[in-house]
Amino acid sequence: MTSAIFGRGVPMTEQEFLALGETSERVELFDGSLYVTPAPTPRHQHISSELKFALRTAARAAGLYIHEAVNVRLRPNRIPIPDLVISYKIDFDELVIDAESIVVVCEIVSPSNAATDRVLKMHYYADAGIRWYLLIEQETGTLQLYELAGRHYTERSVTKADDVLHLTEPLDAEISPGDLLPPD
Amino acid sequence: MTSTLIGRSLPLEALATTEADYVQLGETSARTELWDGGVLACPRDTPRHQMILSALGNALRANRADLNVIAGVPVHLGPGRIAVPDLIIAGTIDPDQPLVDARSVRLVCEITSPTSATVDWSLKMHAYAQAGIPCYLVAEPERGLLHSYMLSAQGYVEQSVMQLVRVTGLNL
Repeated sequence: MTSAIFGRGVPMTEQEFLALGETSERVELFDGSLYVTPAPTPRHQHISSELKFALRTAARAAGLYIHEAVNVRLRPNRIPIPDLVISYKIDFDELVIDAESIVVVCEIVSPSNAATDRVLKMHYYADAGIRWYLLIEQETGTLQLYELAGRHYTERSVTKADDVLHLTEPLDAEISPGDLLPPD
Repeated sequence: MTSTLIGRSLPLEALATTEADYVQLGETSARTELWDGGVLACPRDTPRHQMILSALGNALRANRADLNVIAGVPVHLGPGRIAVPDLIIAGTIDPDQPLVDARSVRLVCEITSPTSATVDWSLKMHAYAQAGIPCYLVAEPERGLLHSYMLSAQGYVEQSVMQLVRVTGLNL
């Protein structure tokens, strides 16, 4: 199906944005502008589900929940769809999760779209006060973990594919980036 | 989709939008940019924005026949990346080509608004520097300021902050 999603020239409100419903592409709301990106690749989805699996038990033990590709309200009219978020207990029937409920936001970065994840979204998530930002390079599996310090993220660790990331906060887990990647 | 949202349909079937797709869009109801295979559809500009834009355009013209001052044209910044700056100053270009190559752009200017400010200060500041555009002007109507940045090896470095009213003569 070819969709016809387009701003009509005036800032889009949250209500109009949410009324779009299910779309074949990912549509995000950036301060009244729409950002439309293609559906993710199998590699991207593989990494996303492997990461969710790797963190699930630890999340539950910490009273946290993991969500893939959900709407997150960072402020009015700013609703990105992060690849994965970890939240406190939320209302599971609400279309949008508020940033206050979110502890970790995670993006799977491809070389071609790195600028939105590393520049714009990093700025957005920091501004919304989300404590942890985890970036995964989808080609190499390298994990970069950032923690909020004041109004900006500071890099806490870089973990290469054959190394292990030991997390103690906000949950107790070990991630081997190599295990997140699909087979060669 | 609800009818209020439809301007033109995007040739997307959940695939990345290519530069060719972008150029084929032609006139759309929203201002559209291509960011790494994703389409950013931004609201159109307010009269206040347009007044500042034309006053800045006049101020920048400075009687240079070899420079082109152009508002609202798509600039090719890199593969799959096309922005539509509020204003550019370019050297020699082919005025009939749909895209201006970033290499011919000497200066790029954005006028911030509540819908564009974060993109102007973060994503575009980064992308214009990466494309090697030597000068970036950011007009901030809310605070009445005009910031100028020059490209260095570390990205843009602020050169000056001017009063917007003194540059444009507009007291909005």
